[in-house]
Amino acid sequence: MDEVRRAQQGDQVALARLLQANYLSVKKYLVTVTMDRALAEDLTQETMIRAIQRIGQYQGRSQFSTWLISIATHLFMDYLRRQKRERRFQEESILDLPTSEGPEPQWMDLMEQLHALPRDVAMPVVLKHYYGYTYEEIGEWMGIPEGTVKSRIFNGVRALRKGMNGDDQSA
Amino acid sequence: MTNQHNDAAPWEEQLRQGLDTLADLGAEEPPNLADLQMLVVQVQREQRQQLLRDLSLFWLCGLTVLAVVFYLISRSPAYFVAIQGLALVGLAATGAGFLRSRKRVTE
Repeated sequence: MDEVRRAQQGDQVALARLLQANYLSVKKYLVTVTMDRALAEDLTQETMIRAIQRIGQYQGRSQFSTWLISIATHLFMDYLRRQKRERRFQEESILDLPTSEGPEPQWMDLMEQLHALPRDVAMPVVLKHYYGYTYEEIGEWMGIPEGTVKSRIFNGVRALRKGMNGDDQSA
Repeated sequence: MTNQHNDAAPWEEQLRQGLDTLADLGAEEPPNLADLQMLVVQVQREQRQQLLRDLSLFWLCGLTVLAVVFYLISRSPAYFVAIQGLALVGLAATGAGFLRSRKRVTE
């Protein structure tokens, strides 16, 4: 927290150190929600720039890493809005997951299902079921009401389960 | 960030495994400290320049308006009064239009 305060008071080294410490977690987050390495790299860079510009507005109500994730989410939502061609975006972002020799792991199918979902449905599913953020946080970051978050997650999870050929009835 | 791994349903377990693998794609080395420090310096410099530009523009507009007002008062008060009157009429018309449209909506 001291590092954050120093960064807010104009200590450029402290700010650079904070960004370096959180760089990978932001990038990993963006890779999981965008499923596109190049886009994730660009958005991570933009997130860092936005954080530098707005460091004075960070109020310490959440962890610094969570604050960065919220910025990254806003930027990705802006990107999707700008695109307005989500289908094309999904077709272009080809997943090439590294797998070991042998049979294809089960999760590969699920990743393909997740990749096929519209990004604004897949993102809340990932945020809730992988990162464990609350509906309220997700709604705030995505600029949508909590109820919409719940219904998107419900629909997303239903589509994922359906895609798994009903082999997961217990969930 | 807190991953929810306890008591995960099978599909959630698969989601976790898949996303863990995916996240590892982004797990390269972070940029070195010197590069990030340069980025901080550059972004903050641009921010200061932008602020200076905006403030200069604001002052320029303000001074121009004041200059015109003082000129009109000192040289041709009639024009000044006319402009003030027109501004008042315009304001009243806008207000009346707004009230009328609001009334129509509530009816």
